[in-house]
Amino acid sequence: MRKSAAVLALVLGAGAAWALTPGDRVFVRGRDVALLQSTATNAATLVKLQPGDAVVWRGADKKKPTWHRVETSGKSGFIYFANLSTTAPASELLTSPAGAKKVDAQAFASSGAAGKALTEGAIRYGNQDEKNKGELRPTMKEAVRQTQTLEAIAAQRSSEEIAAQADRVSGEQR
Amino acid sequence: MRRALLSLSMVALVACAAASGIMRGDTSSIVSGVAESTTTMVGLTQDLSKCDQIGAAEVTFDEERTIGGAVALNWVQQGGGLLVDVPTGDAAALANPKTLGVQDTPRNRLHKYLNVVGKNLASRSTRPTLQWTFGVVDTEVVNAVSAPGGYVFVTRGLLKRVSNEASLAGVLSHEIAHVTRKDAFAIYQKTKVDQCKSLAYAKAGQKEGAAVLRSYTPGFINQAYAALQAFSGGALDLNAAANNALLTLFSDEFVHRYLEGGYARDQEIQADATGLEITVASGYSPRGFVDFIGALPTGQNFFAHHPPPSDRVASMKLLLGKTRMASVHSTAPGSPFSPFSQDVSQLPLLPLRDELAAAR
Repeated sequence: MRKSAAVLALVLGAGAAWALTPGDRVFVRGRDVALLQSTATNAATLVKLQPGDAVVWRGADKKKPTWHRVETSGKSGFIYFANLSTTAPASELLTSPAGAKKVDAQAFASSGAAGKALTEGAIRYGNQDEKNKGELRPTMKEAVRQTQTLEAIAAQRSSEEIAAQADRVSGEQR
Repeated sequence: MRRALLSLSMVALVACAAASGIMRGDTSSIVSGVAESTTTMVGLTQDLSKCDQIGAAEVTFDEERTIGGAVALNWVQQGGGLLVDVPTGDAAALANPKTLGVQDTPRNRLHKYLNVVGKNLASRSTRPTLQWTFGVVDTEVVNAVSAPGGYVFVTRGLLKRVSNEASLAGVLSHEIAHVTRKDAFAIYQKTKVDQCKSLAYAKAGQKEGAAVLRSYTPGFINQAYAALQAFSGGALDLNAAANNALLTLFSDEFVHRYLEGGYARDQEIQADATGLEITVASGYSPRGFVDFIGALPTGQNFFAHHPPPSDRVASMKLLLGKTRMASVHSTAPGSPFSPFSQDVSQLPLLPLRDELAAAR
């Protein structure tokens, strides 16, 4: 248990307190997160936000403190607290002709690198003759084809399907 | 035997080595084949310095995705293959995931469901824009494993044991956490340097290169060494055809080391904590994952190389209790948006969808 406590301290940041001030920038977590006009469950959706979108935090609602007022692109509304984060998504290190370059999550998403399936290198690795000589089944070549099929199934999941799943799980929180 | 591989046993390593034609059991003629042009000590020193440079460079996304893809192929092969129905089509068609026509079969529908669940979770992670890919491997062993770049696999045996979607979400989130926290990088970076240096020693005819000499053919070692010679600093492009031998050298050893030792205990406990946060932030009850881990017997076929289930459950309960208490007393040490600061007892477990039946 002592070990667990030590790890917990690590996980929680050893007492790091968050002092958020109205006007601070916070970030959306979750796909198609609704910015609602009010905290009512049937409130109109002003805009749908994406992971990493920055919004200006104005504070928790007094009556329903799990809902926080935020502003973005001239719109002011409410987001469920679990769909917000004080930290931006991680940046990614991309290679370019000029060398490696760090880009934020949104630039990464639109770079094309984010949508990469098995790379040519990984396919070459799996298809090389030397990797396909044993008796293990499936062969590496078959593993390549299976993984590419899986990647297609994953890549073809629409944002609507994922949003519907999010609604199914979290219901009114969105 | 292949079904045992994802149990992370040493038996699996033997099978892996035997399966690779690159591997060599006979070392009698290797030294003469490889070290026929033995490098000088000056050359060796320069090579070792290059290896340190390779190890010091930050891993780029391109490198992560390439090594992750190679590792993922190992998990698929050694897990007995994926529960997918592969369409007929040439290599070009298969290489275009956005346009590949996938048959509507029970096994493929299982994967559609799994990827919808997984991608919803991953959108709450710190790397929401990765091309996340979730798969089921065909083994009775109860396990889950990830690979750098966004690959997550669960076993058919694991799916037989989950009784609600919250449990499944917890397992997937734990693996998502390993990817977002880049836990594999600690093993990978050391593997790169060690393998690179073994290669340099092998070419120099030094005994420190014996492992590489034992495992690979002279031709392969020469290819890898040529790639090392061509390296001129900066990011290592493992995607390049000329570097295929290096990619193989690094991937094979990464897989070997992971199977041998897994992640560090602290990394597993942290992945539980981060995974639980993703699970709860997505709207699932944390009880699903905690109960699932708590019900696992200890043993080689059940999350081998993870801390004992009782330790993991204790750490997660401590986390849930402390964060809830901190929230009640308004001295939350975490973010004000910590998903734990709600009444998690009200969150649902959710029933599994019928698509999962294809794995049972």
